[in-house]
Amino acid sequence: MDDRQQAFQKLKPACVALSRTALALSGPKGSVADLTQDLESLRTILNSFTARSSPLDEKLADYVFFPLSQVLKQSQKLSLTCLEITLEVLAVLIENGWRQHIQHALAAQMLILCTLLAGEKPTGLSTEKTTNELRTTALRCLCFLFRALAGTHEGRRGVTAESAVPQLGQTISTTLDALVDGASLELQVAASRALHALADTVGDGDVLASFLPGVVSKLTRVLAPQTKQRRNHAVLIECLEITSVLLKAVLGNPSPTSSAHKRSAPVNGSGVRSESKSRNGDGYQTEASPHVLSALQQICRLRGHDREDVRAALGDLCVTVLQDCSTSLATSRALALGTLVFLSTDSPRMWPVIELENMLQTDTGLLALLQELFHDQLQSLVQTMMGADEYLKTQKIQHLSAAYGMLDRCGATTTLLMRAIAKALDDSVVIVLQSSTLKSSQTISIEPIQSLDLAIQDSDSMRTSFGSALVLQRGQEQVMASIESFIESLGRSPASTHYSIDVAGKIRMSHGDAKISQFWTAYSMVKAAMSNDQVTNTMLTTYETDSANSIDFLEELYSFSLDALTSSVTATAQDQMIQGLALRTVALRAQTAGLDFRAELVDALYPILHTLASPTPALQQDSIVALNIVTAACGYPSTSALIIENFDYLTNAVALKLNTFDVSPQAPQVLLMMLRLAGPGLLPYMEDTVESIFAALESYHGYATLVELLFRVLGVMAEEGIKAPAFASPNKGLLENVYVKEEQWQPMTMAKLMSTLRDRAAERDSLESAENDECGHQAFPREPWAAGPTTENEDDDSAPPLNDTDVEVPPPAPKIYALLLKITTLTQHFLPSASPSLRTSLLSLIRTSIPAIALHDNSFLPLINTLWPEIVSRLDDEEVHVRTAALEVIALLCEHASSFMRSRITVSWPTIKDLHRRLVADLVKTVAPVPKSGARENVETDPKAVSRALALTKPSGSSAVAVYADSSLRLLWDALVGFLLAMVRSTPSLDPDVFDETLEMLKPVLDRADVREALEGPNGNADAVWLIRLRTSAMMPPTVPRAIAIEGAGLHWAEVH
Amino acid sequence: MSPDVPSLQSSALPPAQPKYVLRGHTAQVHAVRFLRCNSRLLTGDANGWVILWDVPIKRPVAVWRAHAQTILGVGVWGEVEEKVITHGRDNKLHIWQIRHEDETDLSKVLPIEETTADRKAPWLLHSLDVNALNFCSFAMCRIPDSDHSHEQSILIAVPGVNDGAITITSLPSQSRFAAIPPLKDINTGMLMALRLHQTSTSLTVLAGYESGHVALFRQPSSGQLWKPSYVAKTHAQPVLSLDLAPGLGAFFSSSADAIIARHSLDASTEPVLLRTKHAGQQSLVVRLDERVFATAGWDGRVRVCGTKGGMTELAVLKWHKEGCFAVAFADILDQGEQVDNDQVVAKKDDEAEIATKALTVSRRREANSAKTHWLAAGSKDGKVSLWDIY
Repeated sequence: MDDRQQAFQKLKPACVALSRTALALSGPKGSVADLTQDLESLRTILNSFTARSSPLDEKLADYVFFPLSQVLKQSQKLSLTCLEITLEVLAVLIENGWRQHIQHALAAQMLILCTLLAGEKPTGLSTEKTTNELRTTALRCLCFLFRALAGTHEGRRGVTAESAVPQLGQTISTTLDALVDGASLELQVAASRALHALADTVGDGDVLASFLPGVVSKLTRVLAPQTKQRRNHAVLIECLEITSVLLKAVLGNPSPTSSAHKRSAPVNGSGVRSESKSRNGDGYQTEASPHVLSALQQICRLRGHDREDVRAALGDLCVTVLQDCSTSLATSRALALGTLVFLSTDSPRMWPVIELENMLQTDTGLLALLQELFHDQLQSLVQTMMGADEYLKTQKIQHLSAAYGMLDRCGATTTLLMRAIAKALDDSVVIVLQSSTLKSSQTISIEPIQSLDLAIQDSDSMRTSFGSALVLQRGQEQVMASIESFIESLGRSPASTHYSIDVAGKIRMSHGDAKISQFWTAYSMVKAAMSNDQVTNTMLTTYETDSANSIDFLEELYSFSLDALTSSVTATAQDQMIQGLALRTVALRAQTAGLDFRAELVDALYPILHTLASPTPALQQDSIVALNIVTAACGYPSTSALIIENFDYLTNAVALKLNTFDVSPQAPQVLLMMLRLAGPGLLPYMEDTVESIFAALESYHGYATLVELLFRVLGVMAEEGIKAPAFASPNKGLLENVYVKEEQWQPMTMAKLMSTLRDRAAERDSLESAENDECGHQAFPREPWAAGPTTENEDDDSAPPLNDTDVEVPPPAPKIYALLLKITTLTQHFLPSASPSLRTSLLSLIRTSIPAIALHDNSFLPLINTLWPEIVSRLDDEEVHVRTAALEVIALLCEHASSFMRSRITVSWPTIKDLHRRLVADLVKTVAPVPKSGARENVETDPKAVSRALALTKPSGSSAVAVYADSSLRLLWDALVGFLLAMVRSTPSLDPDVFDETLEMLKPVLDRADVREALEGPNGNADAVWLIRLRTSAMMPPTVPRAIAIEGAGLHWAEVH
Repeated sequence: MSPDVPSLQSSALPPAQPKYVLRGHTAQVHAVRFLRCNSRLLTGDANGWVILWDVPIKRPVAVWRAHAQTILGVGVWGEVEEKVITHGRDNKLHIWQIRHEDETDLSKVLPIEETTADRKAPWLLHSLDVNALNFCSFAMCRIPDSDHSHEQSILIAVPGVNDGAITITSLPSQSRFAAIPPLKDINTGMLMALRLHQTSTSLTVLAGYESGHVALFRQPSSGQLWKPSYVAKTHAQPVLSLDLAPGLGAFFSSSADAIIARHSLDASTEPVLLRTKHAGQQSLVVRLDERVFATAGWDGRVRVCGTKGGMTELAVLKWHKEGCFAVAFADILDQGEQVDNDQVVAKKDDEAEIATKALTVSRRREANSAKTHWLAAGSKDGKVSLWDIY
């Protein structure tokens, strides 16, 4: 009450002022501006009320209306702004003041006024023109007015009274004009709201029926999507709602409930009217039906609208058609149903969609209609798929999927239907695949082989989800995604099992794209079924038989997959797709089985790794993902662990593969990876594998790549083999070498010489007792170190003392040792191979295995005997790096075989000298490209030139004039130096000529500490080094010390320096 | 070419490959045997090692050194075949107990790993001192149960102290059941192969000798001496293996020469000789269904032949690079194929299918493995190949 009083207090001055100004306007002094101002203030006050709970009531409204009526009387003089404000105030009054209590006469007047003002060319105004704002306000006013009227029966009856109908028609047409052609958005919105309110208010079918055709056609113009004009969503929603209201009112079913409802309301003549309506109804309803259908066809194009609220409004309209107008608009039902199904694809939880599903549950006619619709769509699917419109394809499939979902939920799917679907989908996938066969042929690049084990180790932290299984063109992804989601929804339904069993049998029979398509469909389906099973199984176990079915199906697919994966020919992209799918199936199977899958690894692990070694990156990726999934499913901490713990299975698979002379590179590559991951523990199991490799090498020795790959495997075996713990322990062989070294010749001191002489004299005296002593320990020192070139026989003589000590000792780790020996022995046949890289890798293999093999002299020395000719012949190799590697191997042999090598080196010495000569010439040539004529001989022996060349080609670039030169020459030089040093260090009793020439060769590097250490060591000759350094003036001749015996001088000086 | 030797058919099929190769022995494999419904495989090697393999997953479940010397033969005994018999050249015959639950405790490290770690041997139930100067493996058979409450009894036949003599011992009583003297008037040399067969009424003993003789003894009425009811010299070389097919009324012998002979159990007909071109058939076994037998040859090949008619060579299984010393068939568990009435078969299959559906993946795998017609061959190279044939 307080509020009302206060409001009155506020309104009173404004109203009084307004009234005065309005009266004054009729007089000469009237000012429109003043009036405008007063109206403004009134509006402000009123608006301030509406801000909170309005204190206005009909009394106050009447009070305020009084000055307004004054104003309106002067309407012809008023400005448009003035009118607009007036209408705004009026709107407020209707909305908040009178509400339902508006007087009918007043309402009728206002209806006329507002209709007038809302028109495009209002009559009775100061100007011919009108503004959008004015029209908008008028329409808003109308809207409120209708809403107010709708509140009471009297109000409604007033509007629909016989006499009011012409005016109503006028209002409708004005509103529609504003709606259709309204220039501003506000105008359109206001018009649509007004019309909505009007339709709500009238609510009488008969009255509206006469307006229906016009209204619907106008509304259709608004609703039909046009390219030139895009309607605002608010307008669209309003219009859809209006259409919905109109259709319901005019063409609605004469439902018993509604008539009962009407009867319950005590309205005069209601019974008569409903009768007449139903009588009339048949007439115009049949007439309206085709019109409405064509209108709906236009309107339903809105289904693709971006805004969900618009689509929801459209859905509501469709629900109205289906639910409320089922008899009158029977012809439009299919359209409405299709639209609703369509709508459900984007927003399946939309109210109209839920409503539809409810209807489907009860309305069998509708369900039949849906089935029919579905069939039609299915029939035309293949047609669509062959077209070029990718978007349309996607839509179509989504549509089908949604319809299927509804059918499924109603339990209306049959085996027959499933078959039809599956066939259509199969065909569709085939079409998609065929259209994508134009894709560029993938470049086949062999992945670096070493990367396989790294890939495994890297994969530990990598993804566990697959990409798309099929290779597609870019535009097709969407289509395939939609097909996939459809298949998934198929798979989730229990009916799918019938179908899937059907498919499983077909896959093995079919070929090419059809096979891929069927496999893919089957896989997608079983995947969905499995995930579904997991859900249902955790909740309830009603689907037991179904899940068993899908497990069977998966089993079938799985066995097919394993076959597909191990087939050795993967030439075409199709095969690769099949394999990709097979990997997915295996992974799915692993996921389903969980830890149980460990038992399956005996069959499944190798095929996965087989694809990992494939040259296709996509397949490799899939393979890694599958590995990750399997690892996780079987509960291994990492993929490496998976492989290591199952290496027996892998060994078996690889061995069998190799045994069949399957020369695809995958098996050796997998073997390589296993060896690297599992280490030497694997080697005892490799016996027959190595034999298979040998057999393969024998049969395919002409194929350089394969041979190289196989030898890489053997090389890795050697590398891993020497890591075996048995070889790591401090070894007997080296100790023996040390022993041999200690027994070497040393320059004799006078005292020693004297004692030796004395010993000899004693020996002569007691020859028999000394004999034993000689045989035992002093075998070596007794050898004449200065003997001439030794013969083979002498080698055999020098070997036995070594052998005697361990004649009964078996090699450490017999299996691995035997394997290493076997592998290394085999290299002899391949060392003369045409491929330089193979020759290098063989030499490096020998280098790897020698330290381990050297642990057992009885095997090692014959091996050297076998390999020596081949290794030495590599010293003449045309490839510099092969020569380098050969020298390195020889150096290593010297280190490990010591005296055994002596005679061999002597025999091969000319070759080494030749190599040195050529090397020096090449080296000098790189530095001085144009040698002086005839200077060749000099160059060869000129150590200064060599050392200069070496300095210049030094990779460190310390030299200011860095020369671009082949670094391989430099490496060869290093290898040569390394060999010579090893030879001098390890070989006792070296031929003096050889030593002298060695010294000559090493002249350029005599300054190096390690060189001098070796040359002056126990097997070297310090005096010779001193002499040569003196000659090359690397050092100043020392001042001759006095009073020193000449015999000892050299030794003494050498020691000084 | 002798008409007896069937020429090898040139088949369109690629050469058969083993399904799996069990690597684990370092020495020659001398004995292989399937047990427990084909779920396990027992192998023994020349160093005395015995490995019990899990067939479905192809991994060892028990590894121990049963004897200090070569294993001559292995066998199983018991209701669920939980007792393992091993016969070694160390003059011992051991009976071990390996129940399912024992498997977890036993070492699974294969001899090939060359570790020196201590291994736990299974529980030793019996140990018999036997004469094992020759290479003849023991033979065993069950005694038909008169008293079900008792432990199942078996008979074990081993060579006697005298050359050519046979000693039969009953277990678990460890009492002497019979002693068969050497053949009279024939210098048979050492006993090379033995086989026992117990019918409901009597015991049949088959013996093969170094001289190439094969003899058949039937259990005499009590108190009387054992006399051979059939003696034939079908081989020029020592007999190496014997096996019998009671359903066919026949038994087979192989020897170090190239002959395989089929003798009839009732001595009614002359022995049928198959002259193969491959000398040295170390082991001959007849499959449980008596349709085929297999021989392990010194040439590294396992040959599968039909038991009827001319003993047609059906398959040559070549994988081992060295000689094969032992061969074994898995038991045929799916007898359904032989039932003539197809409908019955189909029905059975359906039932089986329904039954398998309820199984978990690993159980299903076991079931499949048990149904597989395995053939295991042990070789001098220490490997055992598993084949799935016929």
